[in-house]
Amino acid sequence: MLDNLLVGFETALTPENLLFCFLGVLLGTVIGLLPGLGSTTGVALLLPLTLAMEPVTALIMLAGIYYGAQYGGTITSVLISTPGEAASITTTFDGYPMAQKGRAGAALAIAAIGSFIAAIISLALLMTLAPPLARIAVQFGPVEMLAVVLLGLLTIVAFSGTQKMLGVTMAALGIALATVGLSSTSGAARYTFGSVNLLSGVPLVEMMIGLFAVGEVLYQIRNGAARPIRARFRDLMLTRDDLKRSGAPILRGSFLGFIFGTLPGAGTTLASFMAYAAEKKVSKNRDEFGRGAIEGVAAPESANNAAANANFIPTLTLGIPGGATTAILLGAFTLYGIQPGPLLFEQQPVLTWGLLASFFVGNVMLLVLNLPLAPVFAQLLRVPYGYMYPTILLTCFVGAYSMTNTMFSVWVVVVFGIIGYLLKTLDVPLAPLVMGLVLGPLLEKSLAQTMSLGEGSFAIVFQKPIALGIFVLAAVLFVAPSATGLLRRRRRGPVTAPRASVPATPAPDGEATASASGTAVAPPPAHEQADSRQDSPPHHPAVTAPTGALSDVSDRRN
Amino acid sequence: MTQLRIPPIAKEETFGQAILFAVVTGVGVFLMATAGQYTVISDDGELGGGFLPLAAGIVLALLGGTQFVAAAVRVGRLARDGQALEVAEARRRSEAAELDIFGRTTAQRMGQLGTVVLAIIVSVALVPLLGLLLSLLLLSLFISAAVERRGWWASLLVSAASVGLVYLIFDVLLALPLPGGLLGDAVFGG
Repeated sequence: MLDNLLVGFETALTPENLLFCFLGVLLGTVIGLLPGLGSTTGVALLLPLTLAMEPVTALIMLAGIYYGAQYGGTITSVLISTPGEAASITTTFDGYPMAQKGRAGAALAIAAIGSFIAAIISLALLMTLAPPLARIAVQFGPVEMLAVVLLGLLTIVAFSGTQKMLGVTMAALGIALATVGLSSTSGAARYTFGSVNLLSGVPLVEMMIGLFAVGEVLYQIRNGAARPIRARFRDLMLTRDDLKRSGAPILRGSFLGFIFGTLPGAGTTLASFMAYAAEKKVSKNRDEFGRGAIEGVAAPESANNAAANANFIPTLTLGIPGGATTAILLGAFTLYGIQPGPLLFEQQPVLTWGLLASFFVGNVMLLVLNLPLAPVFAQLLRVPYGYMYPTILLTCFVGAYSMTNTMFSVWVVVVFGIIGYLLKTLDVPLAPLVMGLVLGPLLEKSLAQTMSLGEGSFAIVFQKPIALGIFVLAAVLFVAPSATGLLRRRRRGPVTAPRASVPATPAPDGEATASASGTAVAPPPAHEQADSRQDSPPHHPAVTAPTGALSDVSDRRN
Repeated sequence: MTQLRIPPIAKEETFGQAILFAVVTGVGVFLMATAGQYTVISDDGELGGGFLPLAAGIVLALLGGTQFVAAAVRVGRLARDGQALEVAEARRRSEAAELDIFGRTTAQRMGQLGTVVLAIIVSVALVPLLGLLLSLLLLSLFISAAVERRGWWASLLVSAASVGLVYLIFDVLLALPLPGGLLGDAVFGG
């Protein structure tokens, strides 16, 4: 293997390949910065430019665009809560609150470091484990995929904290939205209401731009202008504590991302969500999640980078794309006359090992480029919001238009922007909705195939040990938090008065808090919501973390 | 004396949640009613295109309905409880009086929000006439100068620079044609 690795680095380090690798990561970063233009669009757009190149050079450049775009998406996720692609959604959960606290530089830096470490770990795993992992991945039939999808959905629901019921509702709503368009089982057009544009379903990226970017802009308008974030330079840098807190999440995220990345179709999005959810469960600082926990940036960023690399395992060894971008790269392979498959590593050692070594080189370039630039990017937050948000809206709409070259995409962004704003004001978790839409088609397909394999019965699940294991894990993950909570409450005994009472908001004129019987005013569901708000940032100007935190930081600095 | 447990959400928001869950329930019922059009399970036991809509519909109707009832009960309790209403009203007044750094009240900000949403809808609707870039330039200029009360020249400069950059990246570098609209076609012979 060492010989192969040397061949790989010899290939990747030629001046020509270095130049195109750099061009790839740079273009990828720029593309990732533009809402709507993710790695898939970037690779597809620039593929024609590479046709005249040597295949290995072309693939090195396209792969550079792939992971460069992922980092570009991270920048917008952190600075303006605009995920470039679905895999960056999780970064907004804590990256954006960090930016609002004046710590955008640290968030971006840890994302770059986490991505780099994940790339190195996944690369080492890719080089050593690609063939055996490919063999395991082949065993992942519809039943196992169904188990993975359900595991994904249930884990996402766990995001909702004590608002589990609301989380399940939103996931179901996402799945309902996923039923729009051509059915993956029968091919019938469902709920398109005669619209040709809806035949391919509710467009995910446009919906994401609307919900997260436009929704956030509208929400900030309602909350009112805050002072631009002028962070001190030392706040932009990573502290020793940041690094200490991020080490384990980066490692966990890398391994988790790698595992999910090897599964064909599971993709980087599921990997980043799973890493975030896992970190939220195991982290010592889980109470800070959603309010700017650095672990909430480190884990999913590492996971999506590791998954992006691991996506190449099924692509290179089986000829099965791991995700949308690798599907286009697979197309590129055939354009260059190369047939991916189990023999690719033996037949094309220069190309495959050169490509793998270029991942390392490209990630070093990304780190060198982005680590010093992180505080510079963070300075964008100094632009007054009154100038910034019209520009955000402008790029969102043009980015959305570029997805399909139709105004339909722009209208989708507008509609979901308004929906996103309304859901945010009601403190409804958006992640389960998006994951429902992402996993809906996969759920339907694997469900239908499982039923078909089992000849109309789900009993086949019990004959598949891997699937059964995943189902059990999913059930445990879903039930365990409630069960442990119940046990803890029983151990503590009945709830005492202070626990049941929440201080009232002072009246505007500073009058003393009102008095009344607790039970009469606040029924249990409301109390549950009060608890749940500890998990997610509260939303009202009077009590909001985003605006409140912003004002606090601004006040402190000014 | 027991401290009052303030409902964590104001009456308007509880009302908003009730509406949300009513919509969710409605979507669920709609899916349940229409899933049959797409074969739920075929005669040979295969899942049809109607299975997932039906399953999602049942879950939505059940969960949405349950949460709607809970939210409606909360709204009812709030409406009946004079003291809670008083506190909610005090909170509302407090929030309405809250000023942002430009001294704008909540009511003024809500007005701005409405104006921006309307401006977005109008500018997107105007794209077939003015073209995408000109419509968005006007939107950006309107928001910066008229809504956010920034200087006209600075707003024009920032808006033009943003649009210019977008044009450079999307149209020139990436060769993604942006719609010129009737006006653009007339001027540039689209």
